[in-house]
Amino acid sequence: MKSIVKRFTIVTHHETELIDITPRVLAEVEAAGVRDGTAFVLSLHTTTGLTVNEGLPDLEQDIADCLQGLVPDGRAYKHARFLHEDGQMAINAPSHLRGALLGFEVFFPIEGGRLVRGARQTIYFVELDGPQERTWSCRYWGNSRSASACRSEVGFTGEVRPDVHLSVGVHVAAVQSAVRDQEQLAHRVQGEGREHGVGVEVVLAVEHGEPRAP
Amino acid sequence: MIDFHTHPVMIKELVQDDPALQRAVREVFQLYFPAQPLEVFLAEMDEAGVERAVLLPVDCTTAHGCRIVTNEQVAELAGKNSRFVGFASVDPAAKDAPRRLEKAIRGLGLKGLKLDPALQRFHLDDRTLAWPLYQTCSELGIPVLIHCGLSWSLVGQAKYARPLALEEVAQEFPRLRMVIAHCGWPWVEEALLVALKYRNVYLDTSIVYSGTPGDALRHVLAERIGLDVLERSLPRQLLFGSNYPRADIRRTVRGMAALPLSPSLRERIARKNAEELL
Repeated sequence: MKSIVKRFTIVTHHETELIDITPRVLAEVEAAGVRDGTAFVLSLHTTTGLTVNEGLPDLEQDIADCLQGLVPDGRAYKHARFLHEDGQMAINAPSHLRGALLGFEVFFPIEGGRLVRGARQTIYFVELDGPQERTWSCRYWGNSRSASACRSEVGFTGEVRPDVHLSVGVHVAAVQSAVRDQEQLAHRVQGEGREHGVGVEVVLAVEHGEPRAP
Repeated sequence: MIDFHTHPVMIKELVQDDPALQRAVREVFQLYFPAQPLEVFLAEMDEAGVERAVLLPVDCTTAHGCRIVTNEQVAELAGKNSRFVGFASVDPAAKDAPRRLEKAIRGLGLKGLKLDPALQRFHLDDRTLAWPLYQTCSELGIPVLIHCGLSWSLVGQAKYARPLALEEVAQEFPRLRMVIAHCGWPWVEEALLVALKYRNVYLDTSIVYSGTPGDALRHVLAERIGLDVLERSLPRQLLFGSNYPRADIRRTVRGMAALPLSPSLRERIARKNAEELL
């Protein structure tokens, strides 16, 4: 099982601003090496939001306008006072309430190393009290790509003892004969492991490219 | 629009490598939220429609052993970005305070003096500490912005910051242009008295006590002073100020915009009066 948490800092430039963070989330999924699992995207603030919608400028404006309409600036909010904990005026109740409407997280499944996402789904970090420096985080959690690959590509079905773990990394070119050779090697190593009471996980990383000379 | 009252105390580029400033901001000025990049300050001005901002430091070396941003740091910010207008601060208790002020103005190119009697702990009518600085400001032809009224710092003492003390100062220094910050809240009537009486005394709108900036501005300017008084008697003596980052500039601008002012007074508060003063 693999779990990776990353934090990303951005500077926003407007009081309300929808920032497309989809490319970054996708790139990080690729880099994370999680084959099957979940990606959680979180804001670390209370006057921002995260949402998913179609990535069109007119919709972005509609979302911003709708939030401002639902939570107008001029209402008599209680959160309009000096906040001793910060040393500044707490006069951003509408920002907090708009954030509460949006929520602070989104998540997607990861399948085959890719985010399971509709073609029109854009992931937005939504600034609601900008400009500010902001941080959002991503947690990628699931089976590591290489271990899964091992099971499906090598045909490994042996029981791996969770208390004893041994990984054997084998890099081969993506040539079927070479893979078969490595399968045999993997089974042999696995068998030896069983004789000694050691669970063996064979990690077979397939490199795509020209076959190596024999 | 010109914001006549901002504090460059939460700029990450200044604070992150300056432990003395970090201590001053936390323990004396008393702000406790994370510093933000300079880019955010400028974006805040853009979002609010503010073209220039006056940067105010506070030298309280004698009272608290620190300077809440140095004159050199203010000069560096103003030197790098023409949207910033730097004011100086000197410790009134320093023996060479007038000379330091002259050096900050002539040497560093700063444009005015900031005094904070609540934090610097001197009386505004103190002839030994304050008079030489007023004299120097008069001779240099620079304005002095004076904190009056409530100081949100727990180590600040408002007893030093009563606007009425400036009546005597105005009499003694008729050429000195003074800005009473925060409209002197809660002593708004004292500030109003001095400003009504002396045409070289200004009021800034950085009123921060409770509610939104819109609430505070409406209460003080419309209900306590009266918009008709502003229109008739003080159109040339009002300055827009936000007190950023104690209050954000955006919402203070919106609070001013919500007041039913004449276009000419609005323009004077937003820009003209500040331009003439600077």
